[in-house]
Amino acid sequence: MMLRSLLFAALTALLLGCSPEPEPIRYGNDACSFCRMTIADARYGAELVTTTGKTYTFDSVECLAGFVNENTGPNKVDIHSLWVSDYKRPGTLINVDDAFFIQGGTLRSPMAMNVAAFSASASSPQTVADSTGGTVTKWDHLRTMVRERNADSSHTSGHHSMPTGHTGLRQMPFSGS
Amino acid sequence: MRRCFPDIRAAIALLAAAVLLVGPAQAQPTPQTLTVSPDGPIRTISKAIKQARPGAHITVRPGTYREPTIVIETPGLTLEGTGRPVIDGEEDRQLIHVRADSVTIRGLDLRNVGTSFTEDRAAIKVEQSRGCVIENNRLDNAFFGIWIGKSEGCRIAGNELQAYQDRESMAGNGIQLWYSRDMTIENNTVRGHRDGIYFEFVEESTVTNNHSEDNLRYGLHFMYSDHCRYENNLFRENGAGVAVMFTRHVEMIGNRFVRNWGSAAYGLLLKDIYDSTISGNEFIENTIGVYSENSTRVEVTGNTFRNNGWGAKVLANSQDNLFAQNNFIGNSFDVTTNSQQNPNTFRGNYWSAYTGYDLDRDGVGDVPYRPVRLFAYLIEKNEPSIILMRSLFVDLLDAAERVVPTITPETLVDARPSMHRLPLRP
Repeated sequence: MMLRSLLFAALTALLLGCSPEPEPIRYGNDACSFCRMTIADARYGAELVTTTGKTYTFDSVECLAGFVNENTGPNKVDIHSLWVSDYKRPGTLINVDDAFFIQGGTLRSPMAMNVAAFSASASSPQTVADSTGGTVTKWDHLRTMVRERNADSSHTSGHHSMPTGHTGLRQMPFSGS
Repeated sequence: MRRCFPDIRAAIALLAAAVLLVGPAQAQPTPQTLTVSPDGPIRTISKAIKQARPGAHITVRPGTYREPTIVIETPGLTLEGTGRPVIDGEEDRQLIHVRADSVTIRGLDLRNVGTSFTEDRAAIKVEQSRGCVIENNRLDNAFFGIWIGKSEGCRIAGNELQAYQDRESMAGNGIQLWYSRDMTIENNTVRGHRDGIYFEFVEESTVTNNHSEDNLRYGLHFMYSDHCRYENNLFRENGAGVAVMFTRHVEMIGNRFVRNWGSAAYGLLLKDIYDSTISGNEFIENTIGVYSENSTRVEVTGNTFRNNGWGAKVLANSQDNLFAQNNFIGNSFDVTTNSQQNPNTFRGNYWSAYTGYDLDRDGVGDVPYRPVRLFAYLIEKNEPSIILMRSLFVDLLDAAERVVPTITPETLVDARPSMHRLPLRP
């Protein structure tokens, strides 16, 4: 009897211990699993947690989306959860499901797609869109945009025109400045 | 008489030239000059700028100026500090915002810009300007240092930037260029920023003789910036040395990449770059000297790779790259890759780990050198196995692999290894 309850306790502990959790990103040390850049800006970091608890870190929401998009074939990982930095609380990771995304305006994310995540419980998308001059987007839409951009970048020839009249992928929606 | 003729013509030409040279100087009114000083008639820089006409010269005398962001919208303005006047942002604002052509900012001490969540606040922000000059300023504790967007033909020279951005927080770049072309960045020192120098959508620009050290992420960073050149710079002890990404036609010449050390640290990170040159550089004591992913037609010649963890890590998705006449000296691993396929060429390099011989004494090793150790390949597949690094087992493994290559890339071989260290810089 004693043994059984002990076993039960041990098993519970084991199961609890196994519940995959995000790990804090070590800014300035960790590399982005998608673009290889050193992760430096705590407003934009992101993380993927696998069902076995392994974490992949990213320097931006667009790299997380890119990784998820390409997460196929032999290198596929089993995704447990996706985490993004809350722009208003740099360094704090929130679940993708609790976030909304703003693109453009004054935002300057590391991979130049200029997307940031915000906690849906802390602020309203419209307010943030107004204050940043960006537009609200959803996670699924973001993934599509990243897919299109990455497909585009592997095909376009190198020469893009500069400050005025740039085209295609290089046309980042910016306003104001 | 005939002789005289050309002389008269020459005299007339000379006279015309003299008139041309002197004429405009006489025609132009002397430029308006204004002086700002803490106890003079003009006490704030903003006030002087309000009075300034195009082309005016504003001299700022020593003192500390605390005023709202200085906005310059008058073309041709020169703002020059004498005796290092200080502009202090008290941690809450941008200091100078330029929105006009041919503005010069020189000799100022710019302090305490302060971090912002919502804007790229800078000590000096320049937008839509041609021919700006920013030189010999000192920036201390700025969020972004010098931020230039949508501009052309500017020169950023001899500035000293020091920030104190820690590893956990947000940080701004030292010198940031965005959507610009034909820029010159030279003789600056940048310390303690996120990226020392950052290019995003920049073309035909040069970065020479700068020191970029102790920055959180990269010493220099290119994103989508074609036809640029960086030469004779020092990149030391940054998060990683230099990253060149999604870029074509970059010339990287005579730079030093020193002690960029850490788990994600590289001397030089190449990702998706094409048609570029890396020559005459030194990669010393970096975790990885050059890391190349998905890069094509890059010529790596005449460089020295000394005492790095990995000299070069070239992933198999990098193609048609050439490594020739480089020195590989005392690296734990000279070259590693992640596949048995190798679409790149190695030729005529000096390898300090080469144990072959040269019987015909032509200076070229008679036995081809395979720079990828089996062990390096194993680590690539299974990182923790690095614990076996110095073991006898691994030496045996490497020796066996050298005799009968089975796993390491068959084609990744230097068929003409140099017997002698090539006469490059150290």
